[in-house]
Amino acid sequence: MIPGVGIGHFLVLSAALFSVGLYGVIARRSAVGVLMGLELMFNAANLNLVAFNAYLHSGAMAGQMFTLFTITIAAAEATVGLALVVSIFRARRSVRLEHVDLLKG
Amino acid sequence: MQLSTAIFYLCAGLSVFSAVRVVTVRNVFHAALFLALTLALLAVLYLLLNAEFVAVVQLLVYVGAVIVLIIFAVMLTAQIGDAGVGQTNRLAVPAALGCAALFLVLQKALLSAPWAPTEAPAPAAGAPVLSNLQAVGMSLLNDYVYPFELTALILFTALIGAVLIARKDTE
Repeated sequence: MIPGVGIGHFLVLSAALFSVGLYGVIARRSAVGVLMGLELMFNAANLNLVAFNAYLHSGAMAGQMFTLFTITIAAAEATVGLALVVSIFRARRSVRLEHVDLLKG
Repeated sequence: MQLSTAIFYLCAGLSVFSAVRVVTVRNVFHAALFLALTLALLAVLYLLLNAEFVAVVQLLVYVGAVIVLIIFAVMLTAQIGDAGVGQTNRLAVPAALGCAALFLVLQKALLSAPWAPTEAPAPAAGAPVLSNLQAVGMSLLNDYVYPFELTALILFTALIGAVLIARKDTE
C-alpha cells in the first residue's frame, strides 16, 4: 500500500484526532465549538474504519460502508445539533454552555 | 522517500495541527475554517487508502455541507462579536492533561497490538474486477440495502426535526 506506513500510523493519527476532539468537547465554552470537537471525534472513528478496511480486510467493503453510514448520521446529527444551538440562542441570547443551566438543581 | 509516504506524513501532521487549532483558536469562525482544512486533509488520506468514493463523500458532505451549516450557525448566533472573550471553561487544564494521557495510552496500546490481516477470499474465476465506485454501489444495494433505506428515513426525520426546532414561534 503506502511504503513505510503501516496500519499503526493511521491508528495513532486517529487516536490523536480523537483526543483533540475530546478536549474540544470538554473544554469549549460555545456550543458550536463543542459540536466541532464532536465532528473531529466522528472523523477519527471514520479514519479507523477505512484504515482497518484497507489494511486488514481489503477484500470486503464493510469498513467503507460503515464510514458512509457514519458520515450520513453525523450530517444528520450536525443538522439537529446546530438547529438546537440556534434555538437556544433565540431563547437565551447566548450559546455559552454555562448559560444553559435550566435543569441545574 | 516515496511520494505517497511523503503525502501521508504531510497530511497527518497538517491535520493534527489544524485539529489542535480547531479546539484552541479563540474566534469560532476561524475554528470552523480549520475544521474544514482538517476534513479535507482526511479526504486525501482516504484517497491514499484506496477509498475513492468515501473521499468524495467526505468532501461533498463534510467540507461542502456540514462546514457551511456550522458557519451559518456561527453567523446566526453572533459569535464573532465576542471573539475576545476566553473560549475555554475552567476545565481546560485538567481536560488537556486527561486527553494527553488518553492519547499516550491509546498510542501505546495501538502500536503494541498485533494486527493480522484477514486473508481476502480468492475471487471466483471470471469474476469482473470492480473499481472502488462499482464495489461500493454493489454492496450498497446488495448487502447493505436495508441500512441504506433506513438512512433515508433518518435523514428525513432529522430534516423535519431541524426545521421544527429552529423555526420561530409564530403564534
